[in-house]
Amino acid sequence: MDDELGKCDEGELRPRLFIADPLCAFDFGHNAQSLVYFGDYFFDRGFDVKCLVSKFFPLQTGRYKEFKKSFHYYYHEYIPIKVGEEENQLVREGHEESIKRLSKVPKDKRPFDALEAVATADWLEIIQTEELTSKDYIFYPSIDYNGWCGLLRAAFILGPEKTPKIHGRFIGVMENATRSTDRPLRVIRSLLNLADPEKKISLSAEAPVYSSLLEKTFDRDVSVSLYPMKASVVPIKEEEPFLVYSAGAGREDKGFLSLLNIAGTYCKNYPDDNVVFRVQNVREKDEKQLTHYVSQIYAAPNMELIEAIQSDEGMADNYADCHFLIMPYDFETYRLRGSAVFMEGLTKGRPFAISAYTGFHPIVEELDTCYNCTSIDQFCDVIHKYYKTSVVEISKKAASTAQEYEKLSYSGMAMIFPEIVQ
Amino acid sequence: MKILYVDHEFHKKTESSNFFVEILQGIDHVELETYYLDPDGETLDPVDEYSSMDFSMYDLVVVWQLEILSLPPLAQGVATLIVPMFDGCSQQPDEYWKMISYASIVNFSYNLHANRANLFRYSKLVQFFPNPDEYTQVSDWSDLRVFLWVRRPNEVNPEHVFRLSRHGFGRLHFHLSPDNPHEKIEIPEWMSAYNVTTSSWFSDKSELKALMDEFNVFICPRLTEGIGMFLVESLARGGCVIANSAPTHNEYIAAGINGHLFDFGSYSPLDLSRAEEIGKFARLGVERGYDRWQAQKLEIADFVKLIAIQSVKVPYSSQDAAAAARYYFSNMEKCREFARHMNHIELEDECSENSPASICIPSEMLAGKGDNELTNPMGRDVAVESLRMGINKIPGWNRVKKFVPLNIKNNVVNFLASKQ
Repeated sequence: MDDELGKCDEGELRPRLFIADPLCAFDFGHNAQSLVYFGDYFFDRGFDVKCLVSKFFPLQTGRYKEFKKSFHYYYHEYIPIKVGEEENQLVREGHEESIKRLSKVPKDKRPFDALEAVATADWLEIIQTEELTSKDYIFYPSIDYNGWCGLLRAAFILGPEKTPKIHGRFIGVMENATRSTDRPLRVIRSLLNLADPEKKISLSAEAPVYSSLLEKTFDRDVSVSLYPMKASVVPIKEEEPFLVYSAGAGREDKGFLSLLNIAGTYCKNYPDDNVVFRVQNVREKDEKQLTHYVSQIYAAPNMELIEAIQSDEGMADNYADCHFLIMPYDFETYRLRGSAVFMEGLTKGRPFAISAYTGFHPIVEELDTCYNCTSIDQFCDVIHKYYKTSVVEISKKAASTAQEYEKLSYSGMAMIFPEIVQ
Repeated sequence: MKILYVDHEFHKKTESSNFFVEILQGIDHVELETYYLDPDGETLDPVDEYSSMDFSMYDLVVVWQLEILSLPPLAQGVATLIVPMFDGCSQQPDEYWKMISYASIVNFSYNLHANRANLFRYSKLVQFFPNPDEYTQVSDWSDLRVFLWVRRPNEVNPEHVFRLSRHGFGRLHFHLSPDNPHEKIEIPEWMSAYNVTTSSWFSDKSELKALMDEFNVFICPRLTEGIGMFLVESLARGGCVIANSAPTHNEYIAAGINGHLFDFGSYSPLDLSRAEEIGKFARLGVERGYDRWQAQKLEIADFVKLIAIQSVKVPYSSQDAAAAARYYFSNMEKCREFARHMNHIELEDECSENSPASICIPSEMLAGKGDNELTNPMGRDVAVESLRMGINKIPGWNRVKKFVPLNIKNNVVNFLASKQ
């Protein structure tokens, strides 16, 4: 291995690692970007990395064209996807073909419901076509119910000798997305015990709070794994207005309906500050229900409304433009969850205010330029504090926090496949 | 590029749409012709004259506010841009919008854009702001001096203003110049106990401007606006602006940040203690908005160039288009009914005999020779409804009809309606 990057010497075969995300099916969200983060991390540590995504994944640019489209889509009931009839037909035919293979599986090992069956068939096909063996690795960066159950079921069918080494990462988003049971985590626990009685499958969670809960649920070790991101501080611009950015598409659970209140309270509490709040709009399908509220954001002189969906380049520009990040997330939705935006924003060297008691609460407590806020006024006070601080000082502090985060995330990731990752 | 700009005669006098004409004139290599008409006069001749024009000599027809007039050029396959105003068309049903959706659209209202832009292939949202430098910023906040231009007393009147600003003002002024010059406006007598002043129509605009400079709180005179020149000019002065909570007011005023919004019918007193701060944000909003508007003007030019080269194919004939335009200005219900029929015609169906006009309207009516209500379903409904109401007046009928089966009742009423 290469000392610096852990790359393999010439001639030495890299162990194969498949990063799988059946929910990577959209041109928005963080699924695709997270595959790039984890792919880079594992490549630098000596793996031959291949990313497996949904057959509907639309992006074909840059790194995304290397992704292999492997999975059917299991979540039309939750997040419907519109595709052309021709494309749909092809997928449907492939789907029927792969389901037929399950008829050979003994009855006691067959899947629990139809969607799990599709996912199981997908995994059996991947394992067969890629000729996966117990020497290979599968990393599942954001677990969804059907895809993960399908993988565990496939492992159960094949037995430990033919199953690759697996790591599953829970992020608290889609692991409960099923209508077949009201206790999805219990089903996952049963499948884990069936497929892996020796507890070789390793698990982690994105948020520390969630990791503690899952340890109790699964009766297994569940480590914490943040996005493995190096500090890549983007210089903060000197000029005013002081830009506060609420990253991510406008959604109620992401605090979209609090943003006007924060901007309004801010100009009441600190009328002399030259602060502008940049806000991403709600998606088009939700806009008609919220026109008055969005009109108010549109009207506010201290707010800037931008498109709901931002490209990777657009997001990078927004991070570069802003001085401060806020996430007034809904506690009920995020009490076990973290946030991709939080991790990205930190490594780019931006101070952060986030709603208190989210899944990231303990991490926020540890980091210098991050704040857990319990009220609208508190959000405003933290922003004002930074407005009054010089850009040089903010940059220095935030860069140091980015370094702290880097250490934290890399130490967490080191627990995954430790026999290779050093 | 040859552009025809179509607008209401009224705007020629008010000059309120001149800025858009100037944008079109400013586009490179554009030859602009203007066409003003008064469709609200005693006859529909101006509309017919317009509909029978040959538009083929133009690359683009731009229709300001009177979006229905996009149909005649569209029917001739000429690219058309509409610039509708929220207050004039927001209540139109889906079928109406679908009928005109073959045009491209520039929206000055976010709400209109959010609700209708998806129907159009090419749409653009912009927001107008005046140049703040042309307005003297309010500097005297020693007391609150409230100004209302009483344009539509049935919408916002002196009493509403008094209730909204109860006891919180030093002076209250009503500029009595209603949209309908024959309308009489009376100030309630009890208001004379307060410092209330009035003025009436000025022939010179600058007099009104000078008068407004004396005030720092401005009440918007209408419930909704297309753009709202009074609104944006009051904001540009850095006044504390109060308006009904509807577009476009709520697209320029964020309640409690750069103005106040009230709900029509609910006039509890507003907290005007932060009026000065709010006025400062109002001015700031116009300064920032004006910069954005300068960029958007260039974008409009690019947008116009883009849509002028698009081919247009619509599923209705020139005859249909002319009929729809007539109905719009004479009988809105019929226009909507007509739009419903229009939308059922497939794009490939270009046969005039099967066009919506011939389906729901007899040919003699299209030529303007008469109007027989019972020849179309809507007219029939009116007759049936009036019969029902007549029969319901017969003493004791309401008790008796409970025992008569519904289908029998309907058959009887339909039979009587057809005989009438």
